[in-house]
Amino acid sequence: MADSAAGVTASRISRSKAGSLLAIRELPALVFLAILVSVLLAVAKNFGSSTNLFVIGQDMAITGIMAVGMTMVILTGGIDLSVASILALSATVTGMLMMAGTSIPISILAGLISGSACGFVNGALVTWLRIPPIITTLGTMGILRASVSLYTKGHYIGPLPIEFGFVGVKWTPVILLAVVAAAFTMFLSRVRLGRHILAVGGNEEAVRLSGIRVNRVKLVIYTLNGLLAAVSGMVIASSMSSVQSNTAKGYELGVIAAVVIGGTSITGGTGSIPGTIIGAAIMSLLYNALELLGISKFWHQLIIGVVILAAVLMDRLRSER
Amino acid sequence: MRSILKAKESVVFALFLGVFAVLAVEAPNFATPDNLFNVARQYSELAVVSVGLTMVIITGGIDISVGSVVGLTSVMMGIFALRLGLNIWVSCVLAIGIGLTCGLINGLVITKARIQPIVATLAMMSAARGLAMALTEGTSYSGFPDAFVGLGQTAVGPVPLMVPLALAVVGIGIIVLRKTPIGRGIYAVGASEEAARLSGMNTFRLKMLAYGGTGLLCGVAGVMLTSRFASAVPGAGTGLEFEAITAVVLGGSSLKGGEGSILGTIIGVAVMGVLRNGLNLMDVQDNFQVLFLGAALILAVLADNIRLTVRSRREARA
Repeated sequence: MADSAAGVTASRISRSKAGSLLAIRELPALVFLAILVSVLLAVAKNFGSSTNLFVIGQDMAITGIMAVGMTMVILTGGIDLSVASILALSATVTGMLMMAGTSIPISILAGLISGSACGFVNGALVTWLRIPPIITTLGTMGILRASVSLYTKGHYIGPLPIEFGFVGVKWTPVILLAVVAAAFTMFLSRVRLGRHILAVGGNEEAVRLSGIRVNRVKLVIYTLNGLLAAVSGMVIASSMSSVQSNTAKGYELGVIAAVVIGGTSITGGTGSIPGTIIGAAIMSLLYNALELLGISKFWHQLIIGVVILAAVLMDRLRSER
Repeated sequence: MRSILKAKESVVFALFLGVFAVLAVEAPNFATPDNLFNVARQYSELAVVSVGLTMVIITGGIDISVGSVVGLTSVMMGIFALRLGLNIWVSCVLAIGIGLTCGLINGLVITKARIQPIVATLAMMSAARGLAMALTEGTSYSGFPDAFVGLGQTAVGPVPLMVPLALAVVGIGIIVLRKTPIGRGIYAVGASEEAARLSGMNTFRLKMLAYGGTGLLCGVAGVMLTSRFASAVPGAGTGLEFEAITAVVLGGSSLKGGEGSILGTIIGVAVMGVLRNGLNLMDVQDNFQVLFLGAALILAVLADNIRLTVRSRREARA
């Protein structure tokens, strides 16, 4: 408990002296990112081509947007394993509506609302019924994914209207990610509810006793997390021009990895959204590097596992110094 | 009667009886010895893995790498016995040793580097699966000796050989947890690690035993799986971690640590096995089964919450 309380203090300090201390916390991840980029620039010829950069940007946005929501959930001491299933469900709702001829804005809106609703259900189970987050979202991960499969009967939905394509191509995903990251960084530091998020992860009991409605904070966070998963769902659906029942299956682990590599403590209370964005960049660049360097895809998972471990070990060494 | 109702396992046992009763009426050929023994055979690996996971969860930790370690062990069986041509039983021992090594690495990273269990085992989950893929380049091994394959496929009378093997592991687990200082230490670490340490327990050794033991049991399960399928596939055991966690939680173990039992876990495994099998017999799609299991998981924890609330209110009144 003392440990995480110190975490809250640390994050408060970093907010007041923004530049210097913030830079230190994300330093290990940033150094790793720099090494990765220089190696890629030196070794892989196609790295700097616009096509490749768009691919990286797309991948980074899909992971990063979800990771922003996941960061907030983890900051409150929770976790959400259901994000990839929420993503698939929202993308399915949007896709089905478009295929039925509904206008694009309305379809997108319906998808975003479905995602938020799923997140709200997670939040309600965690707060009102006091079911631990890992159990709740393990359950909804299965339930939502199964619902999508049952609803689509395993059929592929698409091709989606060409006008919808703008969401997932060229710079749009990266711009979306930047907007989401900036908005939620502001939310965490400038909005009262956002500041409560860090406090809840630090010491929930103390925060509750000081009059903050912890349950309401958590409910909002899980709902926002659902909304962000739906935004990622729009990017995937648009970039692939289709939705399938196994869209984004297993992505939750990459998202959690991005958050952890970015220096957010899994026990809550310490962490930042800029760190998470660096984490997402590392994950996307790493995949890209393995591909460009022609390393057999069978080695990818092993290397990624080792990198996750190395990143958290580096973070541990730094915090003990 | 009172004490039975108060037992933590009562919720999951009631769930088991309910599911069993409904399926016995609704599912064709469900309540036949042949079918039930078949379920027991299919779920013996999950039972073995869940015994280890129960101990880890009682210490307040978690291990999401179990499915990947089972897959890696299975692949190592293929490499030792078929690629390197070692004796099959030597291969079994070596493969189980690989499982143990993975568990010990988890334990070291968690205790010595003080990385949170979920993160440490997330990395192991990816690394072990990746190693299994990389070593085989995605292909599978088959052509194991008959004596080995026979283990997983033969039966003594109506009882498949895998079942007593799994039950032996369960029995040892129950005895270790209930009757030995190690078992009491594991509960103590989960209830309050600081208190356990201050009262002179070697918390490092206890945690290493829990994670190492889980790795060892994943090794055993990997060997069992290889024998039952008569092949080693790098994707073997995918998703097993979720089934195992579900079984442990259904069985009444608290993810906060300090509470739980292997008996409860095994009933949890039985609920999952019976439910999946019964729904298969009723031709219910796999998707609906996942949906049922997800709902069962949430409901079981909800029921346990209610039980605890009722108990604490009663205690407050008394």
